[in-house]
Amino acid sequence: MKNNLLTLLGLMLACFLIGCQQNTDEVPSSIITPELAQSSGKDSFLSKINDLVSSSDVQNQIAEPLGDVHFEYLTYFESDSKAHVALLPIYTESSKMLDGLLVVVQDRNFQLQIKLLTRGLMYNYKVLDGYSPPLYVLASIFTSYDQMLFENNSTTVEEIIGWPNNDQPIASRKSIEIETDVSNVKLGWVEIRTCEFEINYAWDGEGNYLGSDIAGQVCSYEYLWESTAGAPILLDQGGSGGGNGSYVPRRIEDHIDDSKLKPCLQAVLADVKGLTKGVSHMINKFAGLNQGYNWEMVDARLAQGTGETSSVYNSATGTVTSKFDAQNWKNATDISWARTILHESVHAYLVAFYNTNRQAFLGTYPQMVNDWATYSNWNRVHHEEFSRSLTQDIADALQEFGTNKGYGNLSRQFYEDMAWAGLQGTTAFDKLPPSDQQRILDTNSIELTKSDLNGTAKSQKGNGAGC
Amino acid sequence: MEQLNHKKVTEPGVDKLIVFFKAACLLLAMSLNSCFSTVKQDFYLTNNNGGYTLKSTFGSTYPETDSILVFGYTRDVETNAPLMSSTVQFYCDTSLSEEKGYYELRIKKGLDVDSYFTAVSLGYKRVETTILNTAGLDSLRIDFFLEKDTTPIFHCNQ
Repeated sequence: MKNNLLTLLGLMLACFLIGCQQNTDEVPSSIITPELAQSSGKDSFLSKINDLVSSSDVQNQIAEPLGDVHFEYLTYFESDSKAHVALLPIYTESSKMLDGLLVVVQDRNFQLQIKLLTRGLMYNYKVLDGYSPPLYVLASIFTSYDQMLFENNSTTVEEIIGWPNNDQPIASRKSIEIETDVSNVKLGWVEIRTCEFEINYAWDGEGNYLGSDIAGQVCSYEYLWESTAGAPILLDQGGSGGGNGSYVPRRIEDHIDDSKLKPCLQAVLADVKGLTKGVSHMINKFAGLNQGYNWEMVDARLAQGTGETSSVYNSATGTVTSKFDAQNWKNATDISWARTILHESVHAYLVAFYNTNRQAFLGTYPQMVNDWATYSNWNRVHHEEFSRSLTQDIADALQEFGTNKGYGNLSRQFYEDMAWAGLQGTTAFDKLPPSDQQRILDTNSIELTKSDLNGTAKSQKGNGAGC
Repeated sequence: MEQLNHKKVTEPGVDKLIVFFKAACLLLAMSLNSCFSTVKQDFYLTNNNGGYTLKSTFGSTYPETDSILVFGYTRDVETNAPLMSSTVQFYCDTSLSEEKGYYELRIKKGLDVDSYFTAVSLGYKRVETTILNTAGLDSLRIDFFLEKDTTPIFHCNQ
């Protein structure tokens, strides 16, 4: 009896394994080498992909420099719609970001365009030795003008939610659903993106329309598929496929409550919010996954320093609070405050991430786990991580801030020095040459207090923030 | 307090045998204090609102010939949630707790050493036991209860 049962289980296991293998083979693909690609006349296509993945468009989409492009692992096939389709694994430099699937399509004008479908989604998942899971570029090229690889259907529903006395709408709530059908390339799945947001309309006193402003946009993604072979893999669900999945991206800048901040810092924050390399960009790059949080910024008198972030996360409201002492630093420049805001925003992100998903946090930041065993306090552990991986990103954001403010002649060195503020005493800082340390401390002291560390008055690079 | 939980499936006849054996063992323990003797189980508060429980045993429950099994769980003192990836340390020996907060350490038997155990977990205050002498023990269960570190993240200098 026991033997029969074991035999049956063995057979079931074998069938299961064979079934899995067959499912994988159902993808009409073949591995082609660059040499084969050239000999088969597809070299121009591959060359275009190569150009594209190293272009600034792609770099901006994935928010992290790409690592090696592995053409030897490219999977190529012709789809039902007679389009050429290629799946190409690419890696980020840090190999830690799992950001999704870049879809590259050639439009009717033969221009390659890219589209980031979502985070945590991959098709035909592979892992190379020594690498974490790659991003995939799905590229396609059409054989004729009139065949669209992806068909987009959108539905828009708009509901007026506010009327003034003269019957002109002042606000509406809009919902847009876009369905992208990719089933006709044998990928067999459909992406449905649903975005909801509010629009505020402005009118003058005579009923003339002045413009509109979009607020609070939230999008969710859903994926539907039928066959196992075509199922994308949702990494957020442990690497397994399923019926559907969703992801709600958030832009942190849209979830900041600065009502308790001094007007001088509200003004600096407004400029920081407008940066393309600002808070969200920096955190996406730093973290790979943006968990999102509501950030409350308040004015306060602090025992030390310009800013302080609570390590307590308000789970009821999803809020992290940071305090800023504008009164004690009346000579601080706008650049100095912008740096403090950027710096504290990452503290807030880490606090939210840790408190909403400790397990994922432990997996994402193993070095912080080790550091905690040594230092056992958030202060040091956060700043050790900052000094390892954040100074260049803060410098990038500050440089954009400075350029926008008209400080175009400031050196990169200045912005990098500013980015080191608050990181004194970290392992990385202590490894800097003493002369660099001194320059960094002086630079930050001057922008903060108008004098260097010796107390000698110095001219500042930025404008006073007016606090 | 949570006990190690091993589910056993036995035939009815075996159950009766086990009950009989346990009863015999209990009687023997009462008279000889040797079959399975728990000598201590208390909750010790530490000065940072955390704490730990100790349960030490002599006898042959864990028949290691040359090592003492130190095991237990690391948990959040407020919610009792398990704390994975906590480091429990005794001298230079460390153990990392798994998903359910469980850890195991094996330390050499027969040493006459006085030292303390520490539990460290990301985001929590460190808990240290008092100095413990492990001489003569066969096993030692220490469950650590740690309090969240809610100290704000500040900057001492600019």
